[in-house]
Amino acid sequence: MKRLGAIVAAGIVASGSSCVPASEPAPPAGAIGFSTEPSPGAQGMPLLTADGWTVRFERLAIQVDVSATPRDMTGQRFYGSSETYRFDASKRVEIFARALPVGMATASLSLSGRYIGDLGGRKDYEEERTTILELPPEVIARFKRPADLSAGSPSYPEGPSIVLSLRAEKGDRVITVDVAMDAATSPLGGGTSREVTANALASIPLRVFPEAFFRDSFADALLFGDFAAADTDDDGRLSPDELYQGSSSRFCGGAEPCRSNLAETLRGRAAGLFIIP
Amino acid sequence: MARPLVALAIAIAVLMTFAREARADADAGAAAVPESAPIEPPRPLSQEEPRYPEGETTSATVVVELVVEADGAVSNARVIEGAEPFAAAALDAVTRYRFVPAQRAGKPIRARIRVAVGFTAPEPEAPVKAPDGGAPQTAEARAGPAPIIDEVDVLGSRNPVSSPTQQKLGRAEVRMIPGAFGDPYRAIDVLPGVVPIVSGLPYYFIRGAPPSAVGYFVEEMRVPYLFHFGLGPGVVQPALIEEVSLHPAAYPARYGRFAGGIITGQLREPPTELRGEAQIRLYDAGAYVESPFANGRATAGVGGRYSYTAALLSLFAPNITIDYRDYNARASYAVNDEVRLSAFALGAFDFASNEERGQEMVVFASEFHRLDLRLDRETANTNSRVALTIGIDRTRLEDARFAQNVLLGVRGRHRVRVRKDLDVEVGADVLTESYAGDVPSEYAVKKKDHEDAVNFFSPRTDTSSGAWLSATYYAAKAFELTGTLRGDVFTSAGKAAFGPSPRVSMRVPLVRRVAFVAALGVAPQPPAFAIPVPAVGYRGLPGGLAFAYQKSAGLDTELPYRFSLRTVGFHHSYFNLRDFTRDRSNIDITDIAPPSGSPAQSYGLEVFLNRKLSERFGAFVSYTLSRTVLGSTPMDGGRVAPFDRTHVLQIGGAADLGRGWRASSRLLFYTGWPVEPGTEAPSDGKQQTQSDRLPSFTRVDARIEKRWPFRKAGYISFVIEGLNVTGTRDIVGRNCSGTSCRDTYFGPVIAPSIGVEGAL
Repeated sequence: MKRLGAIVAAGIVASGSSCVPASEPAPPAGAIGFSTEPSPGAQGMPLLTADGWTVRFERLAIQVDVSATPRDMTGQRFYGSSETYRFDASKRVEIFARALPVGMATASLSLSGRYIGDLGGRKDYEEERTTILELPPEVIARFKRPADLSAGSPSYPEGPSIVLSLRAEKGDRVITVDVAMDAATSPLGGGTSREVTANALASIPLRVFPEAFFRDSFADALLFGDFAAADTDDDGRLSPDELYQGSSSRFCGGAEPCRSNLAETLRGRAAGLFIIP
Repeated sequence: MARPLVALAIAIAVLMTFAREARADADAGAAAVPESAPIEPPRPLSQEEPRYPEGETTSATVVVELVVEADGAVSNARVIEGAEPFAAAALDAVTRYRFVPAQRAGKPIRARIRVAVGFTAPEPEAPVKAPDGGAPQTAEARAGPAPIIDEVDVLGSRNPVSSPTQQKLGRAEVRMIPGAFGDPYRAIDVLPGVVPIVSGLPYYFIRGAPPSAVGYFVEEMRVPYLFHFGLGPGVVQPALIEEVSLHPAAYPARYGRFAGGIITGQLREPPTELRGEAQIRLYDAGAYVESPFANGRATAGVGGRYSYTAALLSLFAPNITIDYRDYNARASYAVNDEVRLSAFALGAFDFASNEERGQEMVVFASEFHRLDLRLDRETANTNSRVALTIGIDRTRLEDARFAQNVLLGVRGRHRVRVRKDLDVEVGADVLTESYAGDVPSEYAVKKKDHEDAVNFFSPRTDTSSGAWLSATYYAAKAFELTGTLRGDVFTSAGKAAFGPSPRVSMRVPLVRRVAFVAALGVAPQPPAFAIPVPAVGYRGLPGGLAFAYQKSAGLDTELPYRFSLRTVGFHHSYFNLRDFTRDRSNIDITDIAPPSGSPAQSYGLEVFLNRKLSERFGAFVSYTLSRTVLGSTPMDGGRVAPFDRTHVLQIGGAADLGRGWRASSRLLFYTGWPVEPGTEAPSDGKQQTQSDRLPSFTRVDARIEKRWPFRKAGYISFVIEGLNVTGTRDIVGRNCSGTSCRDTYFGPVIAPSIGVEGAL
């Protein structure tokens, strides 16, 4: 039994091995971003324009990059953060950039399409990193095809940043628009600052306002007539070609040639898509 | 001056008294064969004459009981009858005997035998010169009559598990394999079909299946890893392991849930007397000691390994800490002749850190603990086990990620001989694993880090449940046919999947000394992390189960001079199996949803020519000719697997040089990896094709040992061993620019070892 006792004692000593240490607290970090508030138009409610059209947004999907930088980057572990979101603008969603040190940080937004050309057999990591919120598969797939309205070149095909479907009615006329556009713009300019706290989201309200697509700044009113006039084949559907051919009467008066078409008008007015209340 | 003559005088009486049901012998790796199959007792190959004790003048006979292992080596020798000093001299002699092992139906089996060693009094008139001019009473070594075996007791019938296409290595062989450092699990890389990723790392592709598809078991208990840091010394003391087996296809019914192969270590029988082994090396020390008590009804053993790398490293790199240790323990109690209770415990701890700005940063830390409680019952026609496994795993990864898994498993099996020529086994097991880990706030870490944390560390309970029915039909001598129906159900995070696993294997004698072996099976597997890490696994069965369709057939041939030759062709198809990667230069081990595609195919030929290294002169040639082709995916066409090696050849040999010296060496050669698609050749600017390969690799391992035996079966040996003594580097990539290319290397992985080993 002495031998047994020795073996048991040795076993106790041998099994007294160390334990894996628990995690140390990570440096405090948080996120800053936006909480979207869809406008009545974004929610699909009918809009009555000043020229008598009733416009209803049937689908509005948006792809944005949310970027954030800490105000004081001295000695910080992270120097900034950026994430891409693709979301249904009719829903309330949170879009943010994370892993930011606590303290003041500035968040900004940009609309941007994604390169969709040949990847040489590599995985589409950009697509993998994109957070998709509340979108059906067919809309997700639309972001992986070239934009209808784009400033890109054939050698560098880009997907859309906005997928837009709407229906406009006036009397017996019905006009539908179903386009995907590559609108590259930073609607909020230099961004908005908030205090980032640990493990929390510093949220900035963000109104999504698709009414901006038809808001004529000169008239300070919603107008759809120029778009309706662009339906030259009178089939009730505004094709991308017709949008490129169509012009705004506001800019094409007199003897001056048109310097803008409706496609560019739509892409340009995307800058007004977001409003911080 | 008279010189005594010592002769071995042994009464021949093979009693064939079987202490237990003489059934198939798993310890020997032999398949279950009919009870009626005749036993061929061990035959002595070489016997060293005992030294006649100085000062004695009488004749004497000592009866010694010993175990002849399946590889012919002697173990567990003890004196049954006889007085000192003759008893010690007899023990000293028999431990150096070599035997042709006992055989049943042509298969080697362990056997306990008794031999009588005779000492004849000196005859002064016999003027025989001593070989070393030593003491006049010393007997001259000369061939005596064959030792007489007066009892044969077939061992290991408690666990009849084998498969006709398995490959196995016994403990005596393992010791002689250079580069394995005595570790049975590391030694399996000499077997055909085992293709290393790179030299020196114990991660293997087996018939094209990646390391994550290969299951490691200690007897029937799965362990999360076998080597410290995944590549260092083993976590199971070699003293505990009787043999290690590789089941590449149609595994025994009790094993499953892995698509690529099963590697099992069989524990040694509890000892009948105190025994132990110890090793002291430059960087660690290990030992295991086990003893019977309670009049031999009970045994207890404990052992472990302790690394002093932390202390050594502190001298050269004080900012770095590398530490590891492990423990093994076993206790058993024979309730009666049929029932035995036992407990087996195993655990390991690894830790690596570095110091940054005065703060210790954990790079990796991991531990696991297992306790297996067993109740075994064995009767003349049955063999049963009920077992309970309790375990805990913990891992700390970089970025302060902590994970834990608490597991509880129950299993039972019952094997019964329903007819003289038919065995049936039924069994079931259930394993629950409760995972928990640090999942950081989604706002505090990058999106990918958070997703990975959710996938790998979020709390959940996974279950794996299996049941099987297996029958083995022994149609004739050495003819066996096994059919198995097994099914496993897996659940994780609300997802469930069922994996059927039918299997058929056979061994059919064709002509004398030649048998046909074949295996056909389906092997399901849940999603597995590319590199086994305790407490880290996929959540929710992403991608569903993988399946392997395994087909192999070949010939077993017994050759002259106790050489054996196995030649097996195989074709395995892998459906939905996560490969390590499709692209060597862009490995993402956190990729939870690899693209689906057509199945991967692996096919080839394995050749193993072997004369056991435990023989006085042993040798082997292990050759694998294979090709693994990954299936096509929506993004990518089919291609040769990035870690494919066309040829893997090993040639080794071992020799007992006499006077306690043993030496062994092996040469390993393998073909280089395929060149990555798109790599340009410098000479003509053409793209290289998949048939282009990186340069091949050759290395040499060597081992030399000087052993000093002492009383009974004990010894102390001094061992110098080296893996890759040629210092060769693996070429793992090629970068071309302009008119020139530059190879990228891994290693060289050189593992020298100088140590002292001892055994009681």
